[in-house]
Amino acid sequence: MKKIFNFKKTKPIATQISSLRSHFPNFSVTFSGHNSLKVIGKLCPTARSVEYSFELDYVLKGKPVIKILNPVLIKNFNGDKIPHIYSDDSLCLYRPKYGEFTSSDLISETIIPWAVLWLYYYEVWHMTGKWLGGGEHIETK
Amino acid sequence: MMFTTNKTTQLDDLLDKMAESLQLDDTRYDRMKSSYEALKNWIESDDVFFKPYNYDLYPHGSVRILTTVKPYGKDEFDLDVALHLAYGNPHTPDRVYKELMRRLNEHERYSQQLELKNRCIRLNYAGDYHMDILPGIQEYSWDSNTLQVPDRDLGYWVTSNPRGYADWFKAKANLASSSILEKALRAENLPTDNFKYKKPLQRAVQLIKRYRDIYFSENAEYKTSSIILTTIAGNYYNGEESIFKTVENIVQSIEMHTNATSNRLKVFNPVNEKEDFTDKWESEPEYYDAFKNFAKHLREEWQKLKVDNGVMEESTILTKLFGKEVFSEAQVRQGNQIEDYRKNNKLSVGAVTGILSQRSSEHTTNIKPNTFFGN
Repeated sequence: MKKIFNFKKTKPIATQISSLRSHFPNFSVTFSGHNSLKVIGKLCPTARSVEYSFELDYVLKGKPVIKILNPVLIKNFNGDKIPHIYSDDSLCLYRPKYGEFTSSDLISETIIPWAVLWLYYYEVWHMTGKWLGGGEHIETK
Repeated sequence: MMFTTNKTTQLDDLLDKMAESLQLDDTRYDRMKSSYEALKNWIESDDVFFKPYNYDLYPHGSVRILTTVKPYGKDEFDLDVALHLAYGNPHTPDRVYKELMRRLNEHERYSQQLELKNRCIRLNYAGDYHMDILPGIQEYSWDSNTLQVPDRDLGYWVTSNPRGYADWFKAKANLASSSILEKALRAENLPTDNFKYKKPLQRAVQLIKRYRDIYFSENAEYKTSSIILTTIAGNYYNGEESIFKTVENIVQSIEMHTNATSNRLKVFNPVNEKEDFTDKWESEPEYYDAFKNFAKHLREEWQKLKVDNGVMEESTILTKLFGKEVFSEAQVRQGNQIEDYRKNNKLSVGAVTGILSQRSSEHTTNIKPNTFFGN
């Protein structure tokens, strides 16, 4: 709910790219078109975790799409569906109507850290059957 | 607290949380303490026998050395207490045992709870705990710990030194002046009170005992006793500051002493060298074999934990060793702590692969508030 009025300007793709490179120097960050970017890299939520390779695509003013490539995300021991994931297997990291991410925000400071957090809760969910990271679900009343 | 940047520290945090959930909880400890105080008052006010003598009533066993473990599948703790009569008491240990029995029978509730054991008298607090009272007379004027206690099976008294044993164990546990968890907490300026009382050796003994209860759950007859496991752990302990490494060193030392030599491993009472706790292993070697297999299994599983297989594999191993509930509860507690840091905007990700931590520096990126969404 923090940004009801968005006075900030949209960040150009070049700005997103340079910020991603400076925060996460090990990622491969490239233009995938005039107004889009692609990130390929590895995330590891804790020292005890495996590394997860991911791919992120962003078209200016669009919704960043981040998918985990390897290891493949799977159901847990209860056979429960993976929580907080879209039907195309990309991660649901924020609620668009709350304006937690807008085109004026840096992907490096929002989407990437949230993806790490998501992976952490995903692992705990596998181990305990509980999603401890909170959030909201798309539900029809 | 989260220790995500170092694998051993983070695993130790989880092991510590697991051990903590197994120990005697504070409310029950307080209840035990008041029963014990009440018992003390009841004996003290006995005009017939106990009143004129100098004596002391103190806990021994796992409560004294802080290695209690909730029994597997049950919910009754043991509290061992010694009734220590001063040196020079004119009576025999057997007489003291009988007087204690008489005095307890005079109490309406105690007389209902009472159960006679070989060396001690047990009071059952059903569903909660039982208190084993060991009556004894100090054997020497110059040794304030050694007691003569009655052994009803043998028909005479034997030597016992429960307080000396506890001192021995505590000295071993104190070989570590600190733990890696305590250091990590101090580095974050967080309170460390908890670790003062739970040294890596104590945590390791709790976990080994719990693993023993699960390993032998189908075969309780062959269960290695707590006194043997605790003594072995103390003997092999080298002051490691990590719980994980403490267990590792203990199981590796057992391996060395059981397989590298053809002699049987003997476990002597550290405060009475004449007493071998493992006498039975001589006459009934199947108990020794059961112990060796038990130790070998733990060693193999511990080696697997050292490989970087990720937390899923790790959780499978820890669940099998210590039980699903204990593991899951510890993991949820760790997760909730992370959630607290997140809510207080104290969580960051590192620059290389985004490892979570609560440190913030030019190499980390703070995590902004978000709401996980979707199905």
